[in-house]
Amino acid sequence: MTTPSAPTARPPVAITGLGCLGAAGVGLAAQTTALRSGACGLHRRDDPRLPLAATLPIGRVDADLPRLPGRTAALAVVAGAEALAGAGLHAGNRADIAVVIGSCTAGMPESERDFLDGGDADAVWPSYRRQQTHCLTAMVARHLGCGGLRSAHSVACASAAAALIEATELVRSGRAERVLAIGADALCRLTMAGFHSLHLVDPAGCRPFAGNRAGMSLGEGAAALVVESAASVGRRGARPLAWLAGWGLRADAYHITSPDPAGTQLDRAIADALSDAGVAASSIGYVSAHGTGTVDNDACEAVVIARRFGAVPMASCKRTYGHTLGAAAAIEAVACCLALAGQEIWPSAGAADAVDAGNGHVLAGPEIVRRARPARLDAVLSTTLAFGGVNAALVFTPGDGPSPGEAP
Amino acid sequence: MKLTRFARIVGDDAVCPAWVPPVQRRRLDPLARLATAVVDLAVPGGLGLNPDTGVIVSTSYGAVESTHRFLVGMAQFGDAAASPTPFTTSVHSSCAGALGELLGLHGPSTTISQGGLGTLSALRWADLVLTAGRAPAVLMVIGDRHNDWTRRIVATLSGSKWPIGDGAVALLAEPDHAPAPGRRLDWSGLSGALTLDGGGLRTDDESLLVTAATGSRRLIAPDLIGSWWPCCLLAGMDSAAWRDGPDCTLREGEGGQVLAARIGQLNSD
Repeated sequence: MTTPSAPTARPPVAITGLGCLGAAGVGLAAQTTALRSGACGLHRRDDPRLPLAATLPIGRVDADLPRLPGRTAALAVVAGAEALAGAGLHAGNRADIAVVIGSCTAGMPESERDFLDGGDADAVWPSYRRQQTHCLTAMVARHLGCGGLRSAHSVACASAAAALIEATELVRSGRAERVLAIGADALCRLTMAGFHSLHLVDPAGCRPFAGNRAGMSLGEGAAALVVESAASVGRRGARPLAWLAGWGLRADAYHITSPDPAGTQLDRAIADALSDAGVAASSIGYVSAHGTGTVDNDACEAVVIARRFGAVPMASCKRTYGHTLGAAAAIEAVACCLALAGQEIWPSAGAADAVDAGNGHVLAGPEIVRRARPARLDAVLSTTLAFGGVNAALVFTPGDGPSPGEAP
Repeated sequence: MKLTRFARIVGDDAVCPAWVPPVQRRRLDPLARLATAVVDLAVPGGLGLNPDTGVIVSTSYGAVESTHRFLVGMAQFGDAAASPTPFTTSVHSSCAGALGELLGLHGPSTTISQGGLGTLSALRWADLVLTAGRAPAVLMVIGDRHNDWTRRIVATLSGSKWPIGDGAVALLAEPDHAPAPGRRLDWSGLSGALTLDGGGLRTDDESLLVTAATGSRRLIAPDLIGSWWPCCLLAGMDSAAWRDGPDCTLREGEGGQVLAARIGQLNSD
């Protein structure tokens, strides 16, 4: 066996449709407004469905959702429908569209409700069965009329990154011409209780990359990207909003919950993504970081990004959305595509708050963006770290379509 | 690509191999224990695995024991007082994470939930990763490990003929040019002497599955009764069938989706 060398540049895949909803609102225009302002989308809630939300701020979707058996599925359908419509792939023209979903909790909100409400096995079974991620994919594909192959990844916070990677390789390999890649997760009691039990939730709301950061905040949402071959784009006369040019996916093999502080495999994932894209590190004009606000995650990311890119502008949108777990990498991919389309970089919500409080400092190295500003962006990078030691990196380059994120 | 290592475990009595540190043995979810055990049969001690090897775990239900334990803790002590230990191992990808950590593997790692398409979906991912040149090999574990809670839930399904079972298959996928002998995977050739139809294996007679896998007749899993492993299409083979069996068409279906591929005889095209 030989160790693979760094991947050589391979054809990018087009992103022809985007959809997103989260605490920032529903639709691309709402995302652009929130990302541009660095709005905080975290709030405490009196929600009997989520008891811990009374004391721990969350990023919740406040919108009427389609009536589906699962909240995660409903979120995914809204994002998917927006992306397909934006790509010009209307109902009746979706028979060959593949659907690849990344989700961490899938049907858990309904399954845990039935279990914790003391339901007997008869009552729990239907929701338990739907809890499986492939059932979520099937439900979403059916609802959207997408008849191509289906796949479901559940890789904790990197779920959507894995979905985007499979979508890319399905297109590159010719197994599919168009793939709807979705990341989706609804808030649920299990994840709130779980991260709280690990003392990883900041009662004040997450403050990514701030010196006094004290943990993450959870959120819910979904984002969808239509990933398409260049040939299909040409035949349809579609215009790419952006290109997904390269990916990296590496495992720490270090600890089940903590990232390797040296960030060796995160750095390798970034190197792989750059090589795959044929993009030099110096061409990266903006890094959309995972930036959860936990001490370990942000330190690891800052060290790695600084080492490879120096003072590159970097931001996390976790204070805007909360950490949406399985959806996060897709939401951040949409943010990258919007940044490229508008040639604008987004601020890192929360970092400025901490500095203003006078009791912290921003990690040295990358420039933590404080205010939105125009920028010439030839390429942007999105990074993701997940439980199980998974590190993902995605490189996006500009398309030639109109910016989809501006309000008409 | 070709499949160069194979092992299966049927049942729920898998024992962690000795190379798993005692603390990990205690903490691992039973699915991860099963995974380490079946990997140890396929690649003893994990010896010889390149550190850049990728990992994929295909499991529909995931770490049900840990998930159940955590939910029980929430029910007993409240959301604010649940124990973190089962939470960390309840994550769907915790099994793949544990395999990577224990074996020191840094290649692309993912976990999929594909129900009755679990085997061929894992093979497809491995093929994509190898074709993209991202790993010299991909270690696959395909399986599910239930507990009394899930067994009870499924057993209540009215009129069910699908009692569930436990089991896992481990495979190592390598590029065609790798020197190790293997069974080559062909996505277009569906003319195997034997067809394994998946979407759930059910049998109370192991010998029937083995006979079918080594013989030349069609095996239709739903004709068999006994246990249901959503992901273990290849659990019908034992090591002898793997080594000596004929070329074989694998076919899985669920929800209107059908995947199929052919694996050649060992060392053959």
